Order: sequence, then C-alpha cells, then structure tokens
Amino acid sequence: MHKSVAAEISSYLKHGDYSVAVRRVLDLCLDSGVDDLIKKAINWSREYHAYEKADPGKTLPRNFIDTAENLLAEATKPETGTWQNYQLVSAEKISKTYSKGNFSLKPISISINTGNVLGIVGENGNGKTTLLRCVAGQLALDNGEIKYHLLKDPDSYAIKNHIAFIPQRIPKWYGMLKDNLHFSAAIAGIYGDKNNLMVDFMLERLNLSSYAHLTWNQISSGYRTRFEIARILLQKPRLLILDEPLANLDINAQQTILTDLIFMAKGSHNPMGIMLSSQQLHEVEKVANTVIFIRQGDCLYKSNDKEGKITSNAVEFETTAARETIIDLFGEDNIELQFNGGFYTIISSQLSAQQIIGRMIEGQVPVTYFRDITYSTKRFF
Amino acid sequence: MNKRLLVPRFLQELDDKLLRNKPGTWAARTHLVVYFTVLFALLTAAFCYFVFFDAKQDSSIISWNVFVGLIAFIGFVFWLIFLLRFNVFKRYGNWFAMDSLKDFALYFIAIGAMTGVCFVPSAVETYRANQQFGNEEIVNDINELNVSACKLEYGLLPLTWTPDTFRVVPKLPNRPVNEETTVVVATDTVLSEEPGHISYKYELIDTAELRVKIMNADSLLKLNDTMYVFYDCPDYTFVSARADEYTTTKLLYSADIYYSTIKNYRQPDKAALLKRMEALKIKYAFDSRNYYGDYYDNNNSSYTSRIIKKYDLSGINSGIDNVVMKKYDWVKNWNDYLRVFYYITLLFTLLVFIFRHSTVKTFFLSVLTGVLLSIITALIMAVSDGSGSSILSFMIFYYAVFIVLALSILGVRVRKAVQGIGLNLFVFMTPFIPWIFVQLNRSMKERRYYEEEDMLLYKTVNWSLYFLLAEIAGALILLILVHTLFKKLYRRWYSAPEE
Repeated sequence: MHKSVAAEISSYLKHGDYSVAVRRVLDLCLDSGVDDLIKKAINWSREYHAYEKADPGKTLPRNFIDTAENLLAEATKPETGTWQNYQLVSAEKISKTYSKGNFSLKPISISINTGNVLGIVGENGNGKTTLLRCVAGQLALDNGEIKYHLLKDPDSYAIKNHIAFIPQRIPKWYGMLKDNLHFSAAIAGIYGDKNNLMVDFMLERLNLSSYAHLTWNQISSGYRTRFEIARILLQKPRLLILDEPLANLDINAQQTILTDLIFMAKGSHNPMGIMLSSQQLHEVEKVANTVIFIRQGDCLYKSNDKEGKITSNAVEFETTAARETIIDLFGEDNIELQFNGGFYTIISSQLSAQQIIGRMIEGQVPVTYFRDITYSTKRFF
Repeated sequence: MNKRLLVPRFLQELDDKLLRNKPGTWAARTHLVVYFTVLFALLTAAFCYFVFFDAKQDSSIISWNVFVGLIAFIGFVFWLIFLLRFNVFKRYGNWFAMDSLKDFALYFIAIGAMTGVCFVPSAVETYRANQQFGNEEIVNDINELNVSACKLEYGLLPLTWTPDTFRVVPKLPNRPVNEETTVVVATDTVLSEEPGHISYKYELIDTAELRVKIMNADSLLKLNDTMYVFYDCPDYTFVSARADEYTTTKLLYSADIYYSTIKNYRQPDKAALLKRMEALKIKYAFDSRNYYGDYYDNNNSSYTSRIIKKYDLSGINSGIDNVVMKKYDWVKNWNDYLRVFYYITLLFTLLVFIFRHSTVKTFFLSVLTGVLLSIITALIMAVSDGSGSSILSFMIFYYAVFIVLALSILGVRVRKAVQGIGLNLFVFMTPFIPWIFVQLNRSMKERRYYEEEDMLLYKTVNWSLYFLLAEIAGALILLILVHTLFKKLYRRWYSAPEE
C-alpha cells in the first residue's frame, strides 16, 4: 500500500503537482508512525509553503525534490500501520419524527466501513441533517437501531467520544486557534511532545500554520471550517460526520478538503469512515462510495443500489443551439429533452452518454458543458 | 509559548505543559487564578499596610472588604470568561474516574483564592494593630489610667457600696416579687453589718441567677441559706475595654481599685501622674465622638462624666476600643470568617460545577426553579403561619423530589430538561442537607422544651458541635457523591440524545 502511494507521489512530483505531493507525503509519513519522519515532513512542508509564499509558481530547487524522495524512501520502510477495512457503524431502518412539527425521517438503513464516504444529498429541509444527527447520537430514534461495531455496550458519552459531528454552523470557539488544537489533541489522549507534533502536523496538513495564532474573529468562514476539521481530526474520531462542510469553502478548497479527508480516512494512522451532506452533488459523488438521495425524509435513491434501478441514461449539457436543432439531431431516437432554464437534460433508454456527445459533435452543436448524470443524484433534482 | 501579561516564565511553561498534558487542569486555569490572586493579595496587603498606619482610628474595614470583594468579583467574572472557553466534559474528551472530583477541587481552590483575598484588609488591620500595641501593654495602660484618675480625683469619688438583697427560690413565680422581710443575721456570716434583727427588701431569684450574681459580685453577705445581700462597688473604671481576654495581666475592676487605691488612699505625686496621663492620652486618644458621646459629655454632671471630660478619657477610650477590636478581630471571629469563606466559596463552586456539567438552558432553568420554589414556600409559610421547622421539612421534601428526578436519568434514553433541573438542584442542596436535618431536630427539641420544659432534650445538647459535624458531613457527602454518583448522572444525562 505504502509503495503504491509512494509511486503516486513520485508521479505528482515529476509533473509539478507539488501541493498534492506535499499533502500526500505528510499523510504517508504520518502513517509510518515514526515521529522523526513526521517532523521532517512537517519541516519540508513548511519549506514548500515558504517557497510558495515567496514566489508562487516558480520551479522548486533540486534539493527540495531530493528531500521529498528521501522522505518517501524512509516512509515506505516501516511495515507498521497497515490499513484495514472493517465495519464502523450500521443503522437498520432508523426513523425519526419530531414531536413538534410534521417532519419525519422515514426508515432508512446505512452502513459505513473504514475509508468509506457516505454522501447524503437532497434539497433543503428534507432530512439530511436529521439523519446525520441520528447517526451521531444527537437525536433519539423512534424506531430502528444503530450499531457502533467498535464499541462494546457503549453509553451515549462513549458514542459521542467515538464519533465527531461538525454542524453546518460551526459553534464559535475562543482563544487562539493553536491552543484549541493542543486542547483537542490532549483531551483525546495525545500528550506532551506527541501533542506538539500532531498539532504541527495538522496545521501543515490543512495549511493552517500561518493562522495558528489567530482567533475566531480573525479568520474567514472557510478557514473556520478547515480549523474545525483539524480540531476534530486531532480527536481521532472513528466516524466523521459533516453537515454541509463545503458550504463555506471556495471551489478549490471544496475538492481539496474532500480529497484530503478521503486520504486521511484511508490512512493507517486513524482509519475512519466519513458521512457528509452537501448540495455540491458532483463534488460529493466524485469522492463518495455511496450517495443517498433524500426527499421529504424518504430515501429515494442509494447509489450502490443502482443496478436494476437505473433503466435509462441521462446527460445534462449547456449549448447556445436552439432547442429545435437538438430535437432535429435526435429526431429518430426516442429521447426525452428537458430544459431547466440553464441546462438541457436528455434522458434516453437507447443512447449512451458517449453516443449522445458523439451525435452532438457530428451535428456541430456548440457544447460549453456536458456531464453524464446517469448514475448521479442530479437527475432527481 | 503564549505570552501573558505579568505572568512569569515558569508559570507560562507550566501553563503550556498543562495544556499539552492535563487539559482539564489547564482549562480550569486555577494556576493562573491563584497566581494573580496572590499578586493582588500582596498588592492589597501592601496598600493596606500603609493605609492602616494608626490602629487607634475608627475601622473602615467594611468599605475595604466591599471594595476588594468587588474587584475579586470582577476577577471571578474574568475567570469565568476563560473557564467557559474549554470544557473536556462537554467536548466528549477522555473523562477519567477522578476528573469530576478534580474539577470540583480546582474550582474550589480558584474561587477560594478569590474569596480569601477579601479577608486580606482585615488581616492586615489586625496585624498592624498587633504590631503597634502589645497585649499586656494595653491592659497595663488601662489599669494605670483608671488608677491614676482615681488618685487624682479622689475627692470626687463616691465611697459607699450599694447593697441589693435577693432571696433564692427553686422556681420563679410568674409575677414579680418585691417583698420585705426581717431576718436574724447570724454572727458568723456578717461581714459589714451588725448582728441582730434587720429588715431587708428583697427580690426573688433562682439558683442559676444566683450563680451568675456570685460570679460577678464585688462583695456579698449571706444572711442565711436563701437570703443574700450583694454589694456593688461604685464605678472607678473610666477607661473600659475588653482587653484582657487573652492576657495574663487582668484589668482591674472597680473593687480591685477600691481595695488597692481608695480604701487606704495616700496623696499621690500629682505632677508626675498628670504627666503620665498626658503621655497615655497622646498614645491612645482618638477623637471619634459622636452625637451620643457629646450629649453624654454635655448633659451629665456625674463624677464619671466630669473625670472623663477633664482627662479626655472618652478619646482614649475610643482609641483603645478601636485598637482592641482590631487586635482581637481574628482571634475572636476566626470561626465566623471561616464559615463566611467556606460558604461563599462553596456556593460559587457549586454553581460553576453545575454550569460546567449542564446545558446553559437547564442551568438557568434550575436557578429559576430554585427561586420559584423559595417564593412558593415563603408564600405557603406566610398563609399557613408555618414555623421554621415547616420550611426545613419543605426543603427535605424538595430534596427527595430532586433525588427521584435525578435518579430517573439512569433509566432514560432521551435528555430531558426536567431531569437536568432535578440533578442540578440535587447537587446544589446536598452539602446543606445534614445541616438542615440538625436544624430540624433542634427546632423540634426547642418546641418540646418550651412545651414540656424538657431541658435534657434541648439545653444540654452541644448544638454548635452538631452543626459543625453536619457541615463537615455535608462537605464529605458532596465529595463522595461527586466522585461516585453525580459524575455518572451528568455523563449519562448530558450525552443522551435529544427528543
């Protein structure tokens, strides 16, 4: 596993994808479990950020690449910390009705393993947060059962110690960012030098080092989300639940944070499962093993149940061509064409996505955006 | 390392070490509170040391206590702001077996330090008074002043003692008795009267009062087994202060002065005495005469008034009174101060402890419930003309209800505010429950004493000891329950899912 990651990082370095290479090297060194190596990786990451700050985009010196290769070589030596896939949480037909109001979450079953990402999508007010809070042990269930497979006869405190929940509106924290991180690590049992090391690691890993001495009011909402993730990760949860984590992040940060979380979830340092809700369908679908679509509290679609349920292909695209041109292009074929004011959607049980785009290229239809949404929850919106 | 104003390096290092190793201890910030409190106490002590330069002056300690108390309260609020930032329990961190007890102890120490600083001014005042005046010195000076005044003003002094006759009976009648009787005075009991048949007007007293009168009598004549004549010596003490409670030298009473100076009066060296009186006046006189003092001085032509006015003994009296009050303040009142310190610290500690383990909403609902129950109980008492023991019974009833509510947490799967309120009030009342039981017991025995005059049940009991034991028991029960039951209940209640 380590060797393949090392090869992947070498490729990043070779092609100049330094940012992702630095992050992956940090992960790899963390997984090695060797403190000195983690320290070296942190220093190397700091070096990288200093270069980036001084002159963004400039080719990095040779010794920087050499250090990276040395780190890779050292990090792949230890045989400890192999990642294992095991079940973390399973919920069987859980449902919830609020005593005030008329909303109810209808019976739903889920299962999360280490390294898995479960995405919950749906419109606002349809039960995504309710489901997340039920799994996090914050809301009492009406029916069904949740099993936390790593805990033996847990009480609610142990469950909440085991699971981390990051709400959409992150509660305000006080004091310096760094103090909060040290505190979070310490309450999770990371003491002394290890505490310093892990905080430094997390600051570098989430690119928060230059914000370490700032307070809540001094950082943007996007950095508050990053900070909250860093804080929670230091507490080493086995299941990380995030409610709309992408809402406050810019486009780059959205993808970076998601991929970072996946990398860390699959790491041997703290293998964990991730459950998140989001409106950013494509970003979530890209990283999630399973995507659940909820409407009015009911699970309408689960991506790993797609076999047999999806009977037609669907694409969405954006074009300046007139609707009649498109209809003429697919005249012979039995397609369903919809326009939502921005995008066209074609649903066809005969044509695949490749055939549809091929037909449009042949017909010289100008296409500015095209996406296959056959297996995407987007088709339910 | 975080740099804090006025915090030395070793404390910064300790702070950093605690943050990384003992997050619960670090979050309580007790180390910083104690440090800043010690700094403030030293500053207050130094300031008071110079302000309280003259122990003769009237004490302004109340103002000082209020002033320092307000600053300590501001410090308390400031500490709360920092304390509420970090909470291991509410963050669902690793919560070890001793953590609840440790937290309670840390809060108690921090609040105790802030409460303790309020006593610094009075401690400094006492220290300064003791530094300026010795115990024996004051007693000797008072005796010297009184004896000198008597020597100088011998001509003004009355020399006749006042007799007062009493007959001792086992039980006093309901109506006052002032009868006249004639008794035969036995020769061997007579001290200053001729033997024979003498008529006496007497009052009835019981044996308890007789004992008191014998202890305080200047002189007494026992006429027979039941009749006593007590003689009161004229007052020769112009300067009087209870200064000899903790000295080997005792103050001279009027009778002592009579026997030592007046009975066999010899002409003194008046010039030397006057010089000495002037020196003592300079040493002690402090003019704090009020309206009543002036009235007394201007409207009383008695020998005492004339002597006091002539030698400005009222000023000396005021000065000595102030000195004595300040000197023995802590010796006399230490147990009261200890109780004030303990209860203020305990109350605030309980509130902070409850707040740290409860939701904000439930905490304030608990406070509201406590206030409402107090009002309702007071109303019931007012309407039903209830006694003190009824209030105590109500409190025990409330406590039982809170116990039931709190224990019901063990069997639920949803967090409910009413159980949280019950738990909070259960915790809050626990240290006071033994005291309430002792007080209830005392009230019941007191009532029985008045109804049945069963003295054995009430007056022979050392109630102060029982109250002390109840206070200690309350504290111990609280600590035991914090460690065993309360932490479990809070853990279960706080982490339970919401409805």
